[in-house]
Amino acid sequence: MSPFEQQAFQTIACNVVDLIPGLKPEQISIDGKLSDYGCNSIDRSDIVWKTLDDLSLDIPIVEFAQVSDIRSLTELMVRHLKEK
Amino acid sequence: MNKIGIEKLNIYAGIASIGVAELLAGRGLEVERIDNIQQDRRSVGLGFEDPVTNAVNAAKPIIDAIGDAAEQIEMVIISSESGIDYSKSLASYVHKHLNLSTKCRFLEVKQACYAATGALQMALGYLYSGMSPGAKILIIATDITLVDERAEYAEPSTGFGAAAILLGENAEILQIDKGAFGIHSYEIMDSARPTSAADIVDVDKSLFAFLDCYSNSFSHYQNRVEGADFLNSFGGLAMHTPFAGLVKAAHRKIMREQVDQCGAELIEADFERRLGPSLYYPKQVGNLCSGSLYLALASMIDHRKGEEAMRVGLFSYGSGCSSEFYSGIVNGTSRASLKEFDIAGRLEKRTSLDFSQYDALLKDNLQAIIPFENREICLQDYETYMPPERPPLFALRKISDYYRHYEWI
Repeated sequence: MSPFEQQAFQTIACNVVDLIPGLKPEQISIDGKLSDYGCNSIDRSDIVWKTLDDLSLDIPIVEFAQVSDIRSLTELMVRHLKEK
Repeated sequence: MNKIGIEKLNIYAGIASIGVAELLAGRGLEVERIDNIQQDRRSVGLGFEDPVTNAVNAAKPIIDAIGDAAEQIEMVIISSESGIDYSKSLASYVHKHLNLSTKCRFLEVKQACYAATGALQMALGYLYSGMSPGAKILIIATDITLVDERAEYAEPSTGFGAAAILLGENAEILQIDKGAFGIHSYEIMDSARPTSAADIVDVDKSLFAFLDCYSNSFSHYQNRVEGADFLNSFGGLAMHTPFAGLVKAAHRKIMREQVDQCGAELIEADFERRLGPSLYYPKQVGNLCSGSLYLALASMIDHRKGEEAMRVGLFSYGSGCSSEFYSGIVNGTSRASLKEFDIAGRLEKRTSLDFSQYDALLKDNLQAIIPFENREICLQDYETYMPPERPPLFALRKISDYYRHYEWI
């Protein structure tokens, strides 16, 4: 993982763990989906907004159309971290 | 001119409903998810109800209450995502059956759950222009629903009915702050109704757009209104309420953005204080599409503490997506004005359906806006669902050569 990938993925994982009781960061896989970890639709929104906030990113919402799992979410964040 | 705003407000939310726990159990879905949805009941339409009957059933008590002043209604705007004809508006039927003056414009507007607020802003401009002093404008947000088991957890929070909003220069319900608004709109495919029998929804995208628009509409409001402060400028908040859980998530997000050192306790207490009163009716009815914000406003007025004047922040969102945050003042006349329509009493008197009755009725809902050439409705089929105590109801009787025939029952 590149440093940007690591930063984005770890931020997402921490926010999942903060929200869902009983999970540990090491249980979150980049190949999983947020719903695999018990996140409902509101939790998913919360995690994305919190992550954007933590990474000081402002990403137009239409760009999330292609996001289907944690990997594609991480990749989107990485692309914008690189542009910063 | 300085009291322009909502003069009268009434809600029609059907005469039948089902408890959300019963609905989820009947579908074999997890009843524990109620905590997330935060919904108690949903209103259900009967086979003789369509967007026209909902609109007339919501507006008729207002027309009766204002008597001769109905002659001053110069415009009827119907907001709906449940149109029944490409050309002929719902408003033409509604105008006829409310017996309104021929000296009155009527038209229909559409932008998912936002259009009623867009219509309201255009109407305010007309009233403020002074081009026709004393004019009144009737806006009715009316819809039916097309949900069934395909909607899964969205089914319990989908409502049924209409909100009728009379605008004029004697704002008893909500005096609207002139020029105080914030807008945020862009194209997105988060939900749509491509045919008269099916909705498509991308839940994640829609929630995301809703939350995005709330923050950005409020920021725009802040840019336009000097000194606007999310925590202190508004004594109460009313929002488009697809389900109460989403309102809570949106509040959590905007509080974190707008309020320094905002902890969970402050967010929770503020939510209960400023949004709690607006959620009683939405939790009993479900999402009323573009009428949903006005159902929340009615709930806030009926359930807030005290009668003192209070500034309210209002947020409207319609998928696709267009959104707006605006504000106004409710005062001592607001609750008294709503009281004559007894919204709480009529919700209470709805017939309670069991799951098998409910499931059987859904197929009728799916037919409500199909443009049939001919169709007969057998009113007797619905006799068992009529509440023992009810006012006269406006009902669809038949469709002949695409023309809809209605009667009072």
